[in-house]
Amino acid sequence: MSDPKGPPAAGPQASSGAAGGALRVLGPDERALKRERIVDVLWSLQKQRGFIDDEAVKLAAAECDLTPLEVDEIATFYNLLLRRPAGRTQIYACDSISCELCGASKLIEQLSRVLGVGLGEVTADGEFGLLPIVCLGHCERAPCVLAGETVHGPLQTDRASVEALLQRIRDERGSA
Amino acid sequence: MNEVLLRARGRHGGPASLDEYRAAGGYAALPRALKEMKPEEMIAVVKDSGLRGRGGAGFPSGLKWSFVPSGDQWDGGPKYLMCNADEMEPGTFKDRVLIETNPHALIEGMILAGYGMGMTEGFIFIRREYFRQADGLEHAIQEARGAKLLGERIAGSGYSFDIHIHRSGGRYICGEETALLNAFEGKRATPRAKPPFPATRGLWARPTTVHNVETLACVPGIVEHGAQWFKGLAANPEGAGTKLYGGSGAVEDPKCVERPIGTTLRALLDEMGGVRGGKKLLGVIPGGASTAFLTPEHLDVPMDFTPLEKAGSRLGTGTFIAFSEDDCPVKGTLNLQRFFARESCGFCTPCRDGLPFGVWLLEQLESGQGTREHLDWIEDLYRDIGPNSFCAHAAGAAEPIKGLFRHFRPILEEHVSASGCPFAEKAEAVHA
Ligand SMILES: Cc1cc2nc3c(=O)[nH]c(=O)nc-3n(C[C@H](O)[C@H](O)[C@H](O)COP(=O)(O)O)c2cc1C
Ligand code: SF4
Ligand code: FES
Repeated sequence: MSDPKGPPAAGPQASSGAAGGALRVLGPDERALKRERIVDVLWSLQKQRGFIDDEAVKLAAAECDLTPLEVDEIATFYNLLLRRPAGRTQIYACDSISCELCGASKLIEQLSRVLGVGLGEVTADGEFGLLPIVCLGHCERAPCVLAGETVHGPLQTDRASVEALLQRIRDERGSA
Repeated sequence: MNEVLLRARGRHGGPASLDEYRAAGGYAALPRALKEMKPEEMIAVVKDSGLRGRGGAGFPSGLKWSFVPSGDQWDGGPKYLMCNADEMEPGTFKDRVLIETNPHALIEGMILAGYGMGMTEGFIFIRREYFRQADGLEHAIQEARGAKLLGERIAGSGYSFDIHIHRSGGRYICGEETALLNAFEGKRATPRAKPPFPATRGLWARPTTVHNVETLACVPGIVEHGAQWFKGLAANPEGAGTKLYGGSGAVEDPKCVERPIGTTLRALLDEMGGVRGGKKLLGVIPGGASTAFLTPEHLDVPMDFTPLEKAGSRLGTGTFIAFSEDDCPVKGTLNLQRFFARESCGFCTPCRDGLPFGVWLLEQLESGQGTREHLDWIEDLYRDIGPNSFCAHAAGAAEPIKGLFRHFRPILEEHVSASGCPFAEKAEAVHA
């Protein structure tokens, strides 16, 4: 803090935010700004292609001025980025503490039974992937799942309720 | 009581619009503050207010602001305000509720904090799972830009500031402030060594202040009504402000409410209809996964930083998780440890390899293979990994273990003597 680099300048009034011409010199260069977008770029590639295949890694690398290796460091890091096929719609079932205290294990068992797949698997018709996820930040609605961009909960764990949930997810995807 | 952070609510339960926020008094003090208050006065009032960070660590906010280079210490280049909306601590959902209810409180707080620290730009780092919430914020930012509350020369003052949203990919460690900065920059989100602290070298190696959503939303009230007013909001003498409290797990009516900081757990639990199904309370984790268990004897402790520390735990995020007499605290702790092991960023060995070993040990207890030796190993392991790890993730994982051993040792020993979980049958009955 006691070693300021460069000339002392005017107060905050001198700044002009994102577009700030001269200030940019000390801020991110163009390359850094491209790199900042990597998660968004991977997300849209995943939306188009279903998951992030090797080709998508290369495309993202070109888009963000990174090496494919640098992209893979990101692509393999995040819970919502998929490096393998996981069905047309992913059902992310929260298995963290508040959901568990409200029956998440039962819910996951039932989902698994109705879909006929285990956690981490895709249904035979490729429609759904059933994946575990940590706390979705909707703990007052436990137990809950994220499907598409919607959090569903609190959910009942009996067979009929889970079948109805799957139907809601299908309907929503149909209308999206 | 009057709500401050949630003072405006949208019709039909949606986010409050700019007009609705204004009708509740929002942005009223902003133009005058930007014109008449000096940045150092803004820092002084936040210091005097006693505001402490709501992201988990409780660091005094005014002090944090004073670390940012200003005046002669500043080189004139960009300085950034970073709002931490990663919110992935299990049991925590308060920032989501704030963003869903009253997004302009966050925006106004960011403008004022930005002015106080002379920030040139603000960002909101939000977990991707908050799709609608990020859209809502985006909309609110547009409204604010349209009303000249963001952008060049805000509200006719000399201050210019804008806010941009960064949607992340969902990973707990991104909430740690230096990992967040790496994540933001598009790097693998492992934490950075400190020092240098973000206040001098943060985002893109520029001075940066990282704040929790709720902390920032406290700022407009402080600037408008003053430090004494803010202190006076608290329920306990050493406290300051209101708090978004959440309750989940075995409660009848889980939800998030804004109450004076220092409200007791008993009052909060009552308000949420008590323990689910009229059962007895076994214990709570008071502030998200990385805080230590408390028991019914702590029901009258004020839910505030210092009192909870005295009681052997922490306020953390202020969102408690309740366990009923039917819920096994060992099984619950195993769940938490699975979370911490899974979300370890993998950068340092004690955490990456130690946490899975902890999971394995707890699994032995739950499955009836546990021995007395396992109990000792668990205690030793978690005592050692926290201090030997690179960031606070592993130390956070050790907190619930501490509480488990302090308050529930007889239950731990029963897992050994009874060769399994004594709660197993009760759990069957509850969720059948
Ligand atoms: C593993 C880990 C995860 C964290 N997650 C969050 C989070 O999701 N949100 C948050 O505000 N702070 C989180 N923090 C705390 C931040 O590092 C930082 O202290 C906080 O954002 C500062 O804001 P405040 O001063 O307003 O509390 C986390 C810390 C650690 C060690
Ligand atoms: S303590 Fe855990 S989360 Fe933190 S740097 Fe080490 S491995 Fe990563
Ligand atoms: S524990 Fe499931 S949403 Fe928080």
